[in-house]
Parts: sequence; structure tokens; C-alpha cells
Amino acid sequence: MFEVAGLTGLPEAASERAEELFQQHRRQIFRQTDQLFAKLMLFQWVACIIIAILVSPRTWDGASSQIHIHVWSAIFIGGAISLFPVWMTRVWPGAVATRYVIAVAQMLMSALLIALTGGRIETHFHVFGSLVVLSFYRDWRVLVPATIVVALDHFLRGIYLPYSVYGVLSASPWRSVEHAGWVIFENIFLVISCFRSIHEMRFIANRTAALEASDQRSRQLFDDAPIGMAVVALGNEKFKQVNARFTEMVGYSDAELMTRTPFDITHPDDLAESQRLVKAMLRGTERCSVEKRYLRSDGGILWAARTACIIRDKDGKPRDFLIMVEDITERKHAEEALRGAKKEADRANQAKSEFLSRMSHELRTPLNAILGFGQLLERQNPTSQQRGRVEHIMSAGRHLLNLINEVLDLSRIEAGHLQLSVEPVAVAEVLNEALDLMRPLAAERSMDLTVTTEFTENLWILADRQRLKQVLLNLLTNAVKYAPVGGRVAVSVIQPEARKTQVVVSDSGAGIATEKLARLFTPFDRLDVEDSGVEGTGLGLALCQRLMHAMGGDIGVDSAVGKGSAFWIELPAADSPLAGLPKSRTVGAGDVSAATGGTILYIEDNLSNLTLVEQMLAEQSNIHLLTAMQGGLGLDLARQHLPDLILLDLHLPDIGGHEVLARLRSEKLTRDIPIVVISADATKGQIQRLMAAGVRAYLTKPLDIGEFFRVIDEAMGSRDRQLEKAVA
Amino acid sequence: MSTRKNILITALLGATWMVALAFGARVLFKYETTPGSVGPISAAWPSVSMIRRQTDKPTLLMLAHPRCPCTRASIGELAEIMAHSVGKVNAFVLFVKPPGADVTWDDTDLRRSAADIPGVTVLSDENGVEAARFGAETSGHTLVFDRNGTLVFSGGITASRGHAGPNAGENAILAAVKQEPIQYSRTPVFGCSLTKCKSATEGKLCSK
Amino acid sequence: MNSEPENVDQRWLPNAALFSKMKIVVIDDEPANVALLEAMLDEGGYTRVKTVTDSRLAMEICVDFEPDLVLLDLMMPHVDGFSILESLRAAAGESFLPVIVLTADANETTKLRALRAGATDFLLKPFDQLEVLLRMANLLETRRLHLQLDTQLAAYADAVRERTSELREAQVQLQKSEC
Repeated sequence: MFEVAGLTGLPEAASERAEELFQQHRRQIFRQTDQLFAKLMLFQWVACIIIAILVSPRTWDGASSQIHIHVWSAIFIGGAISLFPVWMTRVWPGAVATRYVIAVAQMLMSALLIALTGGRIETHFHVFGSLVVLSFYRDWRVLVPATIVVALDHFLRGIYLPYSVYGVLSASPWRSVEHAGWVIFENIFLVISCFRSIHEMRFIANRTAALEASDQRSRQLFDDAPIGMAVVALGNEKFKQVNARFTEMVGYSDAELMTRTPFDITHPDDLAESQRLVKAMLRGTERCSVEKRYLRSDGGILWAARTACIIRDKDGKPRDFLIMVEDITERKHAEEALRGAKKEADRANQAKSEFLSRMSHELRTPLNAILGFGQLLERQNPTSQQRGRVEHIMSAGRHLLNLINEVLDLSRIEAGHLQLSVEPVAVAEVLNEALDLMRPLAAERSMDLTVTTEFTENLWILADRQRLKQVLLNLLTNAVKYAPVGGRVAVSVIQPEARKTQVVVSDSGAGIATEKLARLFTPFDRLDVEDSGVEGTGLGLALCQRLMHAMGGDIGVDSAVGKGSAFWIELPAADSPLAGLPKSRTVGAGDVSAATGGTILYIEDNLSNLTLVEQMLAEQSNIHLLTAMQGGLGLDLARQHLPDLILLDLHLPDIGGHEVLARLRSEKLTRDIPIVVISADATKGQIQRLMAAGVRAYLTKPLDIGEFFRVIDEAMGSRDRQLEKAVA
Repeated sequence: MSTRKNILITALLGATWMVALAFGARVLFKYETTPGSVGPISAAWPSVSMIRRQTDKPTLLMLAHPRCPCTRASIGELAEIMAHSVGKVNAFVLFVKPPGADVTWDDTDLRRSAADIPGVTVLSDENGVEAARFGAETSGHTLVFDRNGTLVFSGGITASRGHAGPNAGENAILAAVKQEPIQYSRTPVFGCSLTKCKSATEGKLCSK
Repeated sequence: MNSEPENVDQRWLPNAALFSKMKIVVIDDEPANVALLEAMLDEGGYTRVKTVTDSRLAMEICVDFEPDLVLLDLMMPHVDGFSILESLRAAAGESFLPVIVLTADANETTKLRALRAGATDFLLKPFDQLEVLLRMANLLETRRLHLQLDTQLAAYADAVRERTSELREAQVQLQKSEC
């Protein structure tokens, strides 16, 4: 009944929904126009009657009169014309038949009006007006019956009537034809207008359908999102809209939330921060994320990762907040558990370190007696049998002492207490020192200890000198100890990459089975060599590995049973610190002034640094430089020579720099000698501690030559002044 | 709502509506197209007429009922005719005053609008004496005599009752004025009856 | 790695005769250690040795005995080595009293703390006896020099005082003669 057929040339409906919307819109227009006509009909009826009464109230017959037939026509015909369509609009609103009836009735009303007004040409405007009003239906077909009625009316009046009177067509029928022509002319534009309207309605329907679909998608995204989502009004800051997940997370119902603000359900401890963030957002932050706690309706706490952003209206004015909430309660609990576990582990680790430290103390005390009395026994002219037994005691005691030391070292590294001084070190220097120490043992076992690669003096690596030496000695000792008597140990230095240097210690031992290689660096795992009679703690390689890693290097082994083993260490290459030193200095601002001359003692284990300072002071004839490569020696030299200035490195092989410093400061003789510390460790805390301990100045490696001379000059000058004062 | 019964009722009502409208239309149509009666018309200017006919121009004479609404269209058409033939015709409109009517009876809007037409002389026809002389029995009856007083046209100048618009009578008068051949010298007259005589509608003679 | 010196006996007792009269105090709560040190000092030729195992008595004995050198353990019940060190320093005043700390505590911080508190030297247990004796000998030598210096200074001071008074007298004489 309502279908709209024949709308060819219109765009295909985008979807069923678009079609539905379109039809809905049409129905609405049909009904509205029906209602309009219902009122118009009644109005026209009344108007007709009034016009009839005004224009032709009575008809006359000489002096007598009676009510004019027009009045009766207006009342009855007008009523007949209008009442049926009005009834139709009530019973069949929007129906096709209704608007056809209306179209016919409206044009009949025109005809009636024209009749009542005596065919006044002005009344014809009613015809055109009616057609326009009919086009309100946006259905071109209603114009058809309307036009037919008009045409018929005109035909009757303009053609049929004259013809019936005169028998032939008069000249005037063409006026009727003209009238019809104008009606058709108008109709053409009305039809075009109808089609355009329909086209627009289709367009709107399609757009609305698309918008609805998009809206539907957004709504579904919002409703079915796996995270909690809520829209909060900017004005009163109350919830406007929440999705299911959000209500589920906070435990409040939709309705309960609508009367609350997000602050109402925020944990009191997070409230201030939340309020601050909201203010920040109002000041222009588009989006902010925070981890906060919400209070659930059941009193529980919800840990949430909350992201908020501002929703703006089309003018760009902030309208609402969109809040997205992710439940991270479990993660938070896991984090807490993890933190707890870490704390526990740290505590356990600390306890372990303390335990080891105490154990070391407790073990050392009895060991002291064992080794001490052993030494006494050794010197009391024992018999050879007794001597053998005492040697066993001493050997076992020393082994135990080694073990304790290594365990302590290991625990220090693992606790991160080990202090390293990583600086450029000449490989050749350290390696030669280690080899020199190993030669007696190698000779004892008739082993061939050779350096297979000629390495240059200029090969530098970044390492802690002492620790590097310790690692090398360990590897060499292992090689010498585990290789058979008369075997061969070879050391080579290679550069596998441009900025890396490897030292390889290979032996002609039994080699290690591949499956055991992985256990090599495990503490106390001696790879079942306990029965071989070779002494060892099983800690050496584990310690080496940790030291190498701490220095930023690596350690590894290539080995095969029967082919010997090749242990290698790898460290980053470094530039020679001597490279930057000018060959011949011109006398200038950097020089020690002529007035300040005297003796300087430099305590430093790194030969390259010693060389550097030696070269720098070589041209200073008034300065006598003493050097010591060990702390003990340095102390002795200090006591003997009482130098004017002591330059002190903090990392020394026997007695640490701090200890040397403490001893120098504690002895009356050396207490007043100014001390300048030279170290690679430039942390602020370290410098402050040293300055508090009475150090005159602190120089960091690599040395700045100007700074070096300035400090020396200043330190020695002040020493002179102090002496002058003392003499005075 | 769209039940079978409703459809039936609607169809019945619709049919009734159409029938009623057809009937109404027919009644109205018939009323409009039924001409009034015409009395005995003399072929020449009646000498007894009180109206002075001038011989320099043709003379147009309309007999009208001062209160007939249908005659408004005739006066309108007269105005149209006069507009086309000013100075070429002497026009008179005689408003018939029935016996016993008071002085103001014929002082109507219709009369005033007739008097407003340039070149038209409005006269009162007491007791319809002149109407009877000219044989006019229906309001709007128009007669045209040539300069010699010979009747050249007699009839209404509306196409139907009270209906403005072009019509044969008008065309005939305009032709007569221009002394052209006239297509229809007799046309039906649509309007109120000038006399009380009921039989006038039947075309019978009606004596005073 | 710990290269043990060979043929210890050859270089044993370096300056035994020189320091045999020096007074040594050993403070250690561990009887075995005390016994060991006593035996070692005896072998080293030291004849005037006093040992204390109860740290509460340590200061009293030190004040009475006036030692030339103290061998001190740190970890002791009642009074620990650090407070004894401080007391010793306070008692010794300007004079040079060498204190060698012998402890089994291998912590770096302990060592520094001890040195800061006034320990002259620090040795870790178990110690090498020769090393202990050598360090003792060095410190005793320093002590001897200090004492010598003090004596000489005192003598110089006396001489200066004497000379000053002579000069003053001469001045007075001169003034008198001028008048």
C-alpha cells in the first residue's frame, strides 16, 4: 500500500536500513501533508461558504429573492468535496489512495471556487497554488489526477459547453488549452522538484544509515570493550555513560554510577593526584595515563591503569572526559610479590655475604693457630719425618686459606662490593709480570712456558690492572698445574676484532670433554679432578669469569680431549694514554714554577702511568721524582725520604690506596706531606670522602697536563709556605 | 487499521463521494448553463422607448437586475467591451426597479460598478417598463442596435451563468461595433429573472 | 701465588739483639693465638713481653708496663680493639707508640677503620710470622729514632735554656757596666 515504485534514476539504497529510513521519511511526509490538506480542506470549505455568501447570497426573481444556489453549493458540494478526504486522512493517513483523493478533491475545490467566483481569472491562482501544495507530497503521481480534474473542468467549461450551445467550437477553447498548458508547464517543474526531493531524501537516508551504523559500531565498541570505559561530564564531573566492563570492575551499577563522580570512587591516597591530573587536562593536556586505585562497591581495591582524554564538541570546546580503565590489580599484586621476593632475595644475599664474612673471620682465627704453630714447628729442627708431617699441615692450611679468600672474593663480586679501576693497561706489561711469577713453578714441573705471539709494547686494553693480573695468573697456574710434567704452555695475544684484544693461554694437557665445558665456570665444580692429586679450590675459574664480566670483558675455552685446552680472555682495546703526550714541552704556564722544587713520590702500579708522569716531569730539573709500584714500598719510601709531595694511585697490588693514605695520615712523620690522589674513579662521593680524609687534591685519569702541573705547583707551594711558617 | 472492512467502507464511501460530486456538479452545471427567458424582441428600436437613441453611433443597451449576483459577470464583460470600443458606441445599462420598490432599492454595488464604466449611461427602469419594451426578461440581456436603429445583436455576454470570460456574445458585440460580420447574433442570456413571472424560465410570455 | 720465602732460617731474627730489650704487649682474647705470639716473640728474641687475654685489663697493663709496641686483636668480648686503640693513642700523646693490629676480619672497611683509629700497621690472620717480626722491627726502629730525637730535642732545649740564661746574665752585666 505504501510502496514507492518507479523511482528509477535514484541512487541504490546503501543498505536495507537506508531504504527503511527513506520509506519512514516518506511516510512521515505523506502523513504530514495529509494533515496539512485535512486542515486546508476544512478551511477551504468554510472559505467557499463565506465567499458564496458575500458574492452571491441571493438569487433574484424580480423583486423577490431566495438564497442563491451558490450558497447551497458551497455548503453541500464544498462539504462533500472536503469531508471525504478529511475522513480519508483520519482512516488512511499516508496512504496512496488518500493523497489521490485529496488531489482530486483539491482540484474540485478549485473548480468550485472558480464557479462560485464567476470564473474570475484570479481564482485560477488557486489551481496553481493547489498543485504546488500537492507537490508537498513529493510524489509526482498525485499531480496526475489533479491535472486531469483541472483539464476536465476546463474542457467542460471551455470546449464542451460552448460546443453544446452553439454546435461548433468557439474562438475561446484555445484559452482553455492555454490554461492547461500553463498547468502542464508548472507540473514539469513540480515533477522535477519531486524527483529532487526524493533524491535528497535518499541521500539523507543513506547518510543517516551510515551514521547510524558508525554510531552503532562506536556504541558496540564502547559497550563490548574488554577494558572499562566511562564518559564523565565536564561540568558536574559525574558519570554520564559507562560500559559493562566498567561496572563489573568497580562493582557499582549503572544507576549508582550516574550519581557519582570518579573522585567518589577513587582511593583517598590517589585522590590528590587524580584531581591534579584533571586540572592539568583542563589546562590543555589532551591525554594522561596514570596507575591509580579505585574503591570497589564491596570495599575492595581495584588497581587500574587509567587513561583519560577530553572529548570535544565540534567547536573544539571540551565537553566530556573519556576514561579508559584497565584492571591491573593482578599485575600489581604480582609486582608486589616480586618486590617482596626481590627484597627477600636481597636480604638473603646480604645475609649470605655477612655469613661468609663472619665465617671467614671464624675460620681464620683457628687457621692462624694451625699455620702459626706449623711455622714454629718447621723451625725447631724437626726430623725429616716430622718435617714431612708439618708440611702436610702447612699445605692443607694454606689451601684452606686460599679457599676462604676466593670464597670471600666471589661473594664480594656477587654482592657488587668489588671495586674496580678500569683504565688503559699495557697488555705486555701485565703479561710479563704474570709470566715472571709463573716461571719458578713451570721450571719446577719442567714445563715449557712460551709466548708464541710477539706482541707489541703498544697494545693497550681497558681493564683493572690488578684483577687482570689475577685472572692471567689463575689461567697460567691452571695450565701449569693440570698439564703433565714436561708439557708445554703457550701464551698468545690476538686481535679478533678491531677494538678487541684476546689473550689465549693454551696447554698440552689432557683437554676437557665438551660436555664438561659448561660446568667449567661453576663454583666448586672441579670436573672430577679431585682424584688427580692436583690442588685446587674449584673457585678460580668461576672467579675469573665474574671478574672478566665485571671489567666488561669475557672469558672462554676451546678444548678437546687429548688435544689440550685453550683458555682465552677478551677485553676492549684502548688507546695508549702516552699517545697524547707531546714529545718536547715548551716552558709555559704548565710548568712548575722555579721557586717550587723538591722531591715528589709517585705510588702507582700501572707502569704506563708512571712513564707518563716521569716524562712530564723529566724536564723539571728542580724536581726529583721517586716512584713505587706497591703500597708498602711507597710507605717505606715516604718514611725514608719524607718527600714534598706524594702522588697516590688508589688501586695498588699489596696495600690499597686508601690504606696507604690512612697510614700516611696516621704517622707523625708523614702526616703533613701533601697528598694528591690520581684515580680513574671520578665519582663525586669518592672525591668528597677523600678530601675529607685530608687529601690535598684529586686528579682523574686520563691526566690533564695543565691541571696536573697547576695542582702540583699549588700543593708544593703551600708546603713551602707551611715550612716557612714553621721555621719562623 | 487496514482491515478488509475499512477498505470496503472506504471504497463505498469513495463511490458515494464520486456519485455525490457528480450529482452536485451536474446540478451546478445545469444551473450555470441554463439560460434565462427571452421575451419578444423587436427587430428595430422601439419608438416608444424613453431612451434617446443617437444615430451617430450604434447603441448598446443592457437590462440588468440591480441585485443579481450573476449580472456582475455581465457588467464585467461590458466593461471589457467598452474598453475596446470607447467612443464607438452609446451604451446604456437599465437597472430594472420592480413596482413598489423604494428609491434605494436599485442603489447597489452592481449599479455603481456599471456607472463607473466609461461611456456607459446608467438608468433606472421603473417597473421594468423599458425591459418589457425591448423584450428582455433576464438580467444581463444585452441588445445592440446600429445607427439606423436596427437590432444587430441580442443575448447574454457571459458563457454561462455568472461566469466571466470570453464568450460568443461579447465577440458578436465587438464585431458589431467594428461593423464586422457577426458570427452569432443571438446568444443565451444567463442571469436572474427581471420580472416576477415564474414562467419566464420556461420561455413563455409573461405579462405584467 | 703466595711465594713462600725459602730458607727462612738464614734471615731469621734480623735485629734480635737491637730490640731484645724493647717491651711488647700482646692483647688477644684467643689463648691459642696468645700462645702462638708468645712463642714467636720468644723465638724472635724479645724478652720483655706481656700478654693480656681479658681486654678489660689491657689499658691498665699498658699504662703500668709502658710498652714500646702493641700487638692488638680487634674482635674481643667486653672491650673491642678499636676502643683500646683510641685509649692507647690518647695515652701515648705526642710520643710514637707503634700498634700492629692483627685480626681475622678480612673486611676492607675494618682495615681502614683500624688505621683511621690510629693503628700503625694492619696484618690479617693467619699471618706470616716473619712478616710480623719484620714489621715489628721496622716500627721499633722508627720508635727508637723518635725517642732519640726527643732526647736530643730535650738536650737542645736544655742547652738553649742554659745559653739563654747565660746571655741574659751577660746582658744584665753589660747594662750594669754601662751605667
